[in-house]
Amino acid sequence: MVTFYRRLPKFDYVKPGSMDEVLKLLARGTNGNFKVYAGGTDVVPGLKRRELEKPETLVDLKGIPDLDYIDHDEKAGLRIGALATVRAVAGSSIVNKNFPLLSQAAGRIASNQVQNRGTIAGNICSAVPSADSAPALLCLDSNLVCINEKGERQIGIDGFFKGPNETVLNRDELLREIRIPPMPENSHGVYIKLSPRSRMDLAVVGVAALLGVEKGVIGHIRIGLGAVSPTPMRARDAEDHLCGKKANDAVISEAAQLASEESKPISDHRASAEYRKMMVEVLVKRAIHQALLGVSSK
Amino acid sequence: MGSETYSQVGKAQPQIDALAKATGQAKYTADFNLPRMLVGKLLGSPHPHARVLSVDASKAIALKGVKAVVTGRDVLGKKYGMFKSRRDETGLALKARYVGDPVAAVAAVDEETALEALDLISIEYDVLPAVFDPEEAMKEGAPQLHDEYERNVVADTHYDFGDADAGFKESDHIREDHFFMQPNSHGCMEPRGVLVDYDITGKFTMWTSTQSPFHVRRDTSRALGIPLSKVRIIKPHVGGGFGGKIETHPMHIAAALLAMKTARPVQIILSREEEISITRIRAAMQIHVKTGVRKDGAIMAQYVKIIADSGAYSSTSIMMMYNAGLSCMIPYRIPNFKYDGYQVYTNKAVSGPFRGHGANQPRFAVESQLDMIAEDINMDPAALRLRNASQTGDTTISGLNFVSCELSRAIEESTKKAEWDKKRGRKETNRGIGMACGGFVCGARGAGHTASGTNIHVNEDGGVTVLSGASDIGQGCNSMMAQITAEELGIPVSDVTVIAADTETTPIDPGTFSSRVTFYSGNATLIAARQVKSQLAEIAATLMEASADDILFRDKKVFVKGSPDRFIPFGELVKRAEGFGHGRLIIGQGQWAPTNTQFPDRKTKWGNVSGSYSFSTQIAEVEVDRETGQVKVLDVTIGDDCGQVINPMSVEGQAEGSVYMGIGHAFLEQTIFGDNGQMMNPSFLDFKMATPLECAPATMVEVGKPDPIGPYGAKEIGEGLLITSVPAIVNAIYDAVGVRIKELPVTPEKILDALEKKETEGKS
Repeated sequence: MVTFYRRLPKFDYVKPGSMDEVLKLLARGTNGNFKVYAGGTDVVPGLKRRELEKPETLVDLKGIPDLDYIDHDEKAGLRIGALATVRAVAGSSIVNKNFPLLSQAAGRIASNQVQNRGTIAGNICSAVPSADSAPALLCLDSNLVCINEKGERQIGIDGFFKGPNETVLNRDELLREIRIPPMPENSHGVYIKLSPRSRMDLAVVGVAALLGVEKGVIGHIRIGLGAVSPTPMRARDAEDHLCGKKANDAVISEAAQLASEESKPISDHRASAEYRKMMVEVLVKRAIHQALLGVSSK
Repeated sequence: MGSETYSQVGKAQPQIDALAKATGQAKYTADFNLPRMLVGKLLGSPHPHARVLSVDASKAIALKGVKAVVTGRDVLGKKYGMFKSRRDETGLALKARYVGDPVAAVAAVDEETALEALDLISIEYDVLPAVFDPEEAMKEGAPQLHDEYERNVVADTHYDFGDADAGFKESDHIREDHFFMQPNSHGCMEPRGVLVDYDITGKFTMWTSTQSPFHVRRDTSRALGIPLSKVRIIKPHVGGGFGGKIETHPMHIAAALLAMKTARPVQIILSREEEISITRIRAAMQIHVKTGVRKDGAIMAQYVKIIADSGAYSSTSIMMMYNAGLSCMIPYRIPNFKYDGYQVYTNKAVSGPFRGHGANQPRFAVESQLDMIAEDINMDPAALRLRNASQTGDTTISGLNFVSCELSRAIEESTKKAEWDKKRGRKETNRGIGMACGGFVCGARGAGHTASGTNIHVNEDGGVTVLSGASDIGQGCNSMMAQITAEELGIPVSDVTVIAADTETTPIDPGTFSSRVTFYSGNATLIAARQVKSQLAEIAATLMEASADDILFRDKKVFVKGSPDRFIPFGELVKRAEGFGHGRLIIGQGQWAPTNTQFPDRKTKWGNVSGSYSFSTQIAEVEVDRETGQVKVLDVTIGDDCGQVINPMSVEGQAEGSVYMGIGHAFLEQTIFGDNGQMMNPSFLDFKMATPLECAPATMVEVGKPDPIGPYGAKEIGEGLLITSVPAIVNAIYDAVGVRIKELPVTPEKILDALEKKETEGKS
């Protein structure tokens, strides 16, 4: 947590004008040669604090044209380009209308200034356990389109995070696009962030819940947790417990308890593990109730 | 509190620099650049306690663009500090006493180069054992930080007024409780900085972010061994101080040395991390309070013991510990009072003055305990406070004399406004309401120079220039002086220009601290303005064939009383004065210090230390989330006796600032120290201050009456209100959910733990 900023270490800087150029560069690289960045809101402070290993070359992705799109199709769902800023996503009327859970989560990231520079793709690639967009994207069954010189592959977001600040992306690979399928019928999602300050803060616990209800029975359920394990995670035991059941206070409380049990938080200066576990229970309960309310008011 | 007889006083108006600040035109230290200016950076010790054995700066000097490196060997080793008896800083340390303690500095052509050079300076240290806890530091055999202070006790302050033992014997109920208030950072919007220009005559001109240019001048002269007259300090706009910028900082000395060595201007602007970790913080205090009351709630005796963490240097320790004890005797009548205050060096960041200056910590403790006592003796907390409230005319057992005191009215009016009786004790709602009272000096009498001065020049067109040594750091004293001048001369505030402060051109002034500026500089300005007025009145009387006593100044005109048609426009009168008789210049000079004060007796501490005292009541309403432990402050009601309000808008600003700062202090702000005593959270991400979303609406009720001594009857509101913010909140939490937090900050985890404990105890 000692965050003394120092001068930026010395490295080369390139800003390629196309995706091909970037991928070519990355293909040539060896470990630690290249570090890509978009908004720089994680990378630059990380370098100044000497928390990130100094690359030989910092590759600025902002020169790639037309990569900041937010496209929506009723059938295919949402596509978010790697350079779409947090602000653009949080403020997009399309996202707000079709995936309010995502606008809500994106809107809770850091400050306005950081939101204006940082990207949603960057928020995911930094793989910080408390990333606000992650629990929402987990609930939305997002697919991540990753690209290298040889081609593209799609990775479900559930399999993307490896550990704190670590993802399955290969060193020659980029996250090019986030794909989100249409929301299930009759569903609603919410994100609840618990932090000491109501804005401009990191989540002590972040909980997203998305549920679909058919004839009073929970047919579709996703619960995403942030800041309570080495990576953002799904609370699968809790999901399983709820799926196919009629929602009532008892079932919801049991599910919240299960979510708390499957979370694996650590103690740090922001909160104790014990408190985080307790809060998973409280927030999952609240998130499910709010999501149910959202469904019923549709 | 507006009066129909005043044209300016009591009228809300924006500060005279509001437009410049809102548009970004106001210039702060970092905005000043000089040709050939170098950028300076400080190098801090990586060890909490270590002697510098040798410094090898050859690699740094060899780096292109680096112009000079200075270390502790370049300073004279002459100690400086605000209090003569506690001088312990030299500028750059030869013995580092905390992680970050500046030991060297570099000047280079730009910031990048200067920062790179820091990495190239290699220092050999003799690492010494360190101590981080004040109680450990007081033990026999603990590492000693400063040779002069055995067992590291730098301030050792005791009061013994009346007979506390006898008072406790006469008490029907006695409570003893222990409290802890955490250290926190001032969080000024502008990190401090300095620009030094050293000229061929050997004169230093420094632009710096300071609350006291004259202190910086004294210390710089002393540390560098140069005459006072060879140092000129200019204070530009300052982005907040809150007590933190009263003193001289190593950056001042380092920048001056570097400027001298390179013969080029040098600017040092601290980073946010430096601003939080290597300047000043609020002293953490362990507070033990024992209070005895009679059945009817009358306080019979009080004993307070405080152990305060000084950090690595003394700063204002003796004043802080003096004020900690003294402030306990302001709001309530306490017939017998005993106090033991200790401030102890540790190898951590330096504690110093911070809005409230030692009063906040015991206020939190005493006000918390009063609520506990009220519950014990089954009395309403507001009634208990009313029972003991100080009154106009009181002289405390320590010699403080209250020439005006509306605390009872503040309690009555604010409880009425806040619907205290209706809202108290609704535990089922998880909402609660709590109160706290306080009182504060309007400038404590110092041992040395204490008066303030103002010079007023009237220009040919009737524009008026006010020259003052007072330091506006955002609180608005320039506007206050403009308003007073405008009131007296019957001109609009926009016709007044205030120049403050510049040690070469403005009158000498102690600085902005101790809530003294409106009281002192306001009165000095009033005197100067009245001199101007009487000079002009004499001329006007001659010109209009009237008596000087009948001349009135209003609406930019100078009238004869009772004859609205007989007037000379103000500007014309000034113009005519130029050629009046043998020619006249209109210049007013005022200097002021109260005459009803004494410097407290060195042994007993008896004495009326301030010309007057402010009194306040603050009522907070909170809602507690029993599941998450989070607390929301819903509403705050303030009854503040700050006398006659000069500018309601500035007073509101101070009041709201106290509420918001208090909310941050109660729940969020804490500087955290690691194993090595290093500060672990020197950033606004981890040193959390409240955002506007955490803040609550604050309502003020008018309770003050004009004070006999303050200018137009004004008293302070800058500090005295903040000291009641935290205890009001903590008391409200108790009312809401029945748990008492005695160790700050109030965190959700502490609330949940206390709730759980209460539940288990309730069951058993």
